[in-house]
Amino acid sequence: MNAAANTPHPVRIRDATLSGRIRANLSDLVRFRHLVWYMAMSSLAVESRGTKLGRSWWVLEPLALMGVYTVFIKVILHRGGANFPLAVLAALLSFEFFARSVGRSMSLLKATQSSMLSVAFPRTVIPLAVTLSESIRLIIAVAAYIAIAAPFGVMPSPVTALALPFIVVEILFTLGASYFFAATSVFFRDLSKITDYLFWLLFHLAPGMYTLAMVPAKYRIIFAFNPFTTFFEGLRAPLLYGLAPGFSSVQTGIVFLVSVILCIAGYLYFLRREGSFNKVVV
Amino acid sequence: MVVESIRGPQIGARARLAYLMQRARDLYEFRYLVRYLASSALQVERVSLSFGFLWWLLDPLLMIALWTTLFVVILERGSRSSYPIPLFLMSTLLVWQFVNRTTRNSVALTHYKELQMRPIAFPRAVFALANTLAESVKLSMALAFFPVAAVLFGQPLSPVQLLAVPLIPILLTTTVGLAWFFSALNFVFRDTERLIGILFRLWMFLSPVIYALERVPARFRLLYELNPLCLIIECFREVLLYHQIPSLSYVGGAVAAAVITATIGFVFFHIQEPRFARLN
Amino acid sequence: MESDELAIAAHGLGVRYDLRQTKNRTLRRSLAAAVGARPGAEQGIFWALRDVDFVLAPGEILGVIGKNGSGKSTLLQVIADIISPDEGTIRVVGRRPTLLTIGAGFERELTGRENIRLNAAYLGFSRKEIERLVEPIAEFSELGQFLDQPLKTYSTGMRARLGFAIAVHTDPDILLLDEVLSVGDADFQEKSRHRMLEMMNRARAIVVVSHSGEMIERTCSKVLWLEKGRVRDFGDPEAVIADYHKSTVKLIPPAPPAEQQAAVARIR
Repeated sequence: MNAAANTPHPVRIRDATLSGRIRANLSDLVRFRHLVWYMAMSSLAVESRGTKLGRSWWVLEPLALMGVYTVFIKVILHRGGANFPLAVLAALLSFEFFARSVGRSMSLLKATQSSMLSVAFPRTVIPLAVTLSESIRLIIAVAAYIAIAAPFGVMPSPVTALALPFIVVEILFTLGASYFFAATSVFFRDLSKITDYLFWLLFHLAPGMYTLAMVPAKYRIIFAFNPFTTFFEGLRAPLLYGLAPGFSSVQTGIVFLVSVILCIAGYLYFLRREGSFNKVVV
Repeated sequence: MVVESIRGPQIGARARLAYLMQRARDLYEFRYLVRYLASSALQVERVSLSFGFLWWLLDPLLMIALWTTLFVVILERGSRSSYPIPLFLMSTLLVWQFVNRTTRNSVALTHYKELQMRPIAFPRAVFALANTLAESVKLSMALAFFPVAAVLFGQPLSPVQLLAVPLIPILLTTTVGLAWFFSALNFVFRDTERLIGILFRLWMFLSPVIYALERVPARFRLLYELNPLCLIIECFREVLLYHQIPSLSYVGGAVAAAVITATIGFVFFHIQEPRFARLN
Repeated sequence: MESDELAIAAHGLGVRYDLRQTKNRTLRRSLAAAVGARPGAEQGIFWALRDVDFVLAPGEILGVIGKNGSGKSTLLQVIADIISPDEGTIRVVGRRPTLLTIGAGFERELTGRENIRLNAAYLGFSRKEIERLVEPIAEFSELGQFLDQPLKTYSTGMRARLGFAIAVHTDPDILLLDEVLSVGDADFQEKSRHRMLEMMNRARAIVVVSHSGEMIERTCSKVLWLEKGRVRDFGDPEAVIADYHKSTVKLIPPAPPAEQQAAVARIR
């Protein structure tokens, strides 16, 4: 028998050490798992409420963006290769997932800090719930993508499943980034402006609107450092070309490792700063 | 003095016209609110950001830096232009960003404020107007920086560049029309707020922002110039970059586009306004 | 009727909500419940007000009574020019009909004093009027040096005080009240009541919406009883209120079933 089971009232001990905080927070997360699920589900439900097109926006939005980039690259710059619109679409799905998760985590945390200061729930659920709801959207969009790609002669095959580990890794990467940026944005209010530009650069310095082959050789090294090069390829190759992603296992390995580290480090960083959130007037 | 107002459904063209005239007078009566909203919007932005006013300069500079990167690094366009790429982009991107930001902010703000301020009766058109004014202050600051940038890139200055000043009111008129139009559309069609982000990205590529108007093939030209932002953007480029006085047909076209856009925006906004209070 | 013998006149007034437009929204949910009982609920059209006629002379206080969702607040919104009628006309004689609200449109980042200006500007005061109003409002709110702090540093009570101070300084010709407001500690409440009475004395006409029949009977000179968006009765307070009470008495919950009563009796 453990002590807790015999205590009539749950005892909460707040331990200031990091390991104590991690333990407390992890048990809080288990306790608040319904909140995470509920927040994710309600944000999915509310998001398109009131709009005429409703949830079809989940698919229509990336499709419309695909159209815009196709006009830009094909019509105006006269570039782009075979199946160009679908190649852009794969990158857009992957990137919008990341950018939306981080952006919404920042704004939701800020909104919570200004309007729900008196409600004590672990703030760590916010990036978790946001990333969860965005992941669900991503998976639905990827399923729609497979359906859209079929008429272009890209039939689902066992290779398609290779996209899955890349999606999982990108989710970890995004969660870590959400924790990091959300925690920082409470203290540094200009952050959302900076991320606007930072993300723009991350997207355009990855082979999203074009393939790596189109980039002058001397600049290609920049792209190797961008994790989105891996994420885009990891989605595009299996889903669009029916191929295993074609880069070195070293690069893939590094991105996988970095994503896991970012996820853990982001969480720890968030936890470390969480204690002083309520002392800042947002 | 006793003020009397009689209101009912506007039936017939004369009643509608009288209603629109009344709305224009109301808007004039609330001019102080417009001014105060504009100045407090600027102030809120200043105090809520650590770098405050510095962002008025940082915003355009970062944007130009990013587009320059895209142009030079990836698209390898650098060598072909006879003007420095950042300057070429700056002459129009500032203007474009002003229209883009004002319209999108106005749409979001008008909807948000309508819900927040429901119990108070005042012309809802003030938000788009105030937003346009506030953004125009930032635009003017950024444009004032253009000669500095030109000198840094070794380009000569010319008094013709001062002609950008009279172009600003034309741009404001067009922009407020767009802001009114889309803000009202957002109440009819709630998807507008999401659609507009995509629409403006497309619109940018279909306007002479990152390329000059003369690069558009002649057979599309007429259709292309129907874009209400096309001529005004090109006028800014001619004045700032080419040091050229824009032709009367360009200026005339830009003025006509501004007047038409503002009128359509104003009329559409006020036809829809009575419905705002009934939507959530 | 001549303008100077008239404050508010409604003639065949109707306000329509199109439920198809508000699809999937909370408004629809709240209204949809009411729709079933309404006569005008054809094809998703819902008349919040219909065929409303009444005339109010200057100096009168109109009390509006009725159940939740009977159209009381919509009527106030129409008089305040927030909603325009879809049918009939509304004639309002007097400057700036104002629906008294507390703290709508406060801006968190602006200081208390700046919020006073902003709020007054929303209410349509000119620049000169605003300059005249700021100090009395600031003084009335008793917020002292907090007035120069951003609103986000205020407590809920301070915010309500500021909102109230603005509200009771608006002095509209036509004063519209959705329930009578009160805020703050006992001293502040007394002061507010006093100021409110002053404002009511100065107003050309007042419209009050309330659930409390007693309060309406005490203060109003005319009563309008709305039911399902239509006028059930309009006239002198005593008669209308008495009828209103008679009709609501029926709504007292029925006695609990016999076995429950027996159970309770046993315990006693």
